Amino acid sequence: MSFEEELYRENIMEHYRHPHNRGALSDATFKGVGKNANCGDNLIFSVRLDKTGEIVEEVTFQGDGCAISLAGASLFTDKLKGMKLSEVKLMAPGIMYSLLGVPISHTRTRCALLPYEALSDGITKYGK
Amino acid sequence: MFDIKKIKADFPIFKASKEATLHYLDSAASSQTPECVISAMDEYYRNFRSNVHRGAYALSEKASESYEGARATVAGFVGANQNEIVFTAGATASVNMLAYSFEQSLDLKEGDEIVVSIMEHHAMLLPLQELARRKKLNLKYINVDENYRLDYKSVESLITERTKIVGITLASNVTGAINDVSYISQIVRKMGALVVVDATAAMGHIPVSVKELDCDAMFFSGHKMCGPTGIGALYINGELGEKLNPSFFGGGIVTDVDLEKAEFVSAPEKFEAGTPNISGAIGIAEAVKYLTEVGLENIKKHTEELTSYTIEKLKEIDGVKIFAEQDVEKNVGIVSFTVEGAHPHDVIEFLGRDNVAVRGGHHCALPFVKTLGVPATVRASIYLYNTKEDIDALVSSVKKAQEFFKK
Repeated sequence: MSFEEELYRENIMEHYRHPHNRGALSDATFKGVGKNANCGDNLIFSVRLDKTGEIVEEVTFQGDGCAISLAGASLFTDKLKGMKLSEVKLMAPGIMYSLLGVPISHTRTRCALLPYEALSDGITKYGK
Repeated sequence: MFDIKKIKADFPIFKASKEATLHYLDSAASSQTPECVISAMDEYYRNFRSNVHRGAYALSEKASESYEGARATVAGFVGANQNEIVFTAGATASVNMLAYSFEQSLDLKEGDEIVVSIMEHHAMLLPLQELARRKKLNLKYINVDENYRLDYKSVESLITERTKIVGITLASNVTGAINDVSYISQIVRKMGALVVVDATAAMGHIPVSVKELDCDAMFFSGHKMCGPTGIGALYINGELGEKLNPSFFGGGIVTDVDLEKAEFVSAPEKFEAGTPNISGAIGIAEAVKYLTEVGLENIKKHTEELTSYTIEKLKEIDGVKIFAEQDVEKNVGIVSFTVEGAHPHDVIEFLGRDNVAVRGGHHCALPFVKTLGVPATVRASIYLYNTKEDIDALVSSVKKAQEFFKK
């Protein structure tokens, strides 16, 4: 299989080149940071909940990374919008593999999980 | 004469990969093992495996002789006395042990200083950083100039009478730059601080002499110089070795033990608690013999030519930024670079598919890589078994990666 068929499928490359929800969020309810120990990449996730405090109304990410972590962040933020916070909390790290939909090698695990770690950090700090 | 075909044939790994040629450009992370090293260790396990010291039977005699013979070989390789070489698990283990010994045995007062270079690998940096934190010492850095070379001019003013330890790498594992350690030692000597040298990236690439470096301690790992993993050597100057207490305790290091305390034997045995890595010591000594037979000068000349070629070819690619010592005489065969528009992790994944083995990341030297102004780099490292074909494969694969991510 070629790269195009495997790791860097068209939708991954599309999200990498034109990531969704990238930027700052001035009125975030909470923020979280994910750090990739292998390369020093950082991702910051900003989440705004609605008035009830139960629904994810807006979520953005900032930072630089490789194709896998940036495409993952783009896909993940899309997924999170409109979700109940209670449901978000129940999501396991494996969600990242499902969203990316491509085989992730051992060395790229941290890249793939970075967006999840940034969100988890925010949720832990938010504490509710 | 340096015959690359013969050299390559010494390393079984290059025969093992039948499907595609292995372009191994990751020796700065871990080098490959020549057949003679594997055989020497195999011989121990098959024919004379037993514990060293205190076994009055033939097998143990042979094991002890081989182990101490390995120490003599390694000592000779770096111009040290036999009792100044401690076998450890590697560079990281060496510095951790040394830092704890310093803490116990040196008179370190709050406000005293440790000076390191910004180039240090985490193996050197973190144990000293932790020591500084525990003892409330100031940790100061020798920075680099615009060519990523140490700012030697700053050294004289950085080292003061409060400086107790100076940690300096002989060669950077990111840019390959060989540092003028003896120049720094000369300044440090006037102030009476200890000089600790990280020779890990340089060992097996250039001749190293503890006398010329004028250092108090020096360490390196076997696996970056054609030896096995899990073994390294720590040189501790004879006088310092007597002064330092061990910081790792257990069997084999005492003259007497009573209920409250123990008395220790002399160096190097007092720093080698527990059964040592006997096959590892035999392996690293065999690697020393192998490298000596090939000739460090020949190896250096060979890697120098290829380093020069690598820099030249990579420079021809638009958007490639090189972070390497460009004076190849002062480079241990390491070329770091970034590719505009493609993250190092994506680049190395691409290269990996073409059987080009390189490393991407911060190379365990985060402060230095941050100084370079990038989150990570791709690093190609060259050793005695590499050829122009390896570099051509690297360059062609980098071009393909760039093309792919540019789309």
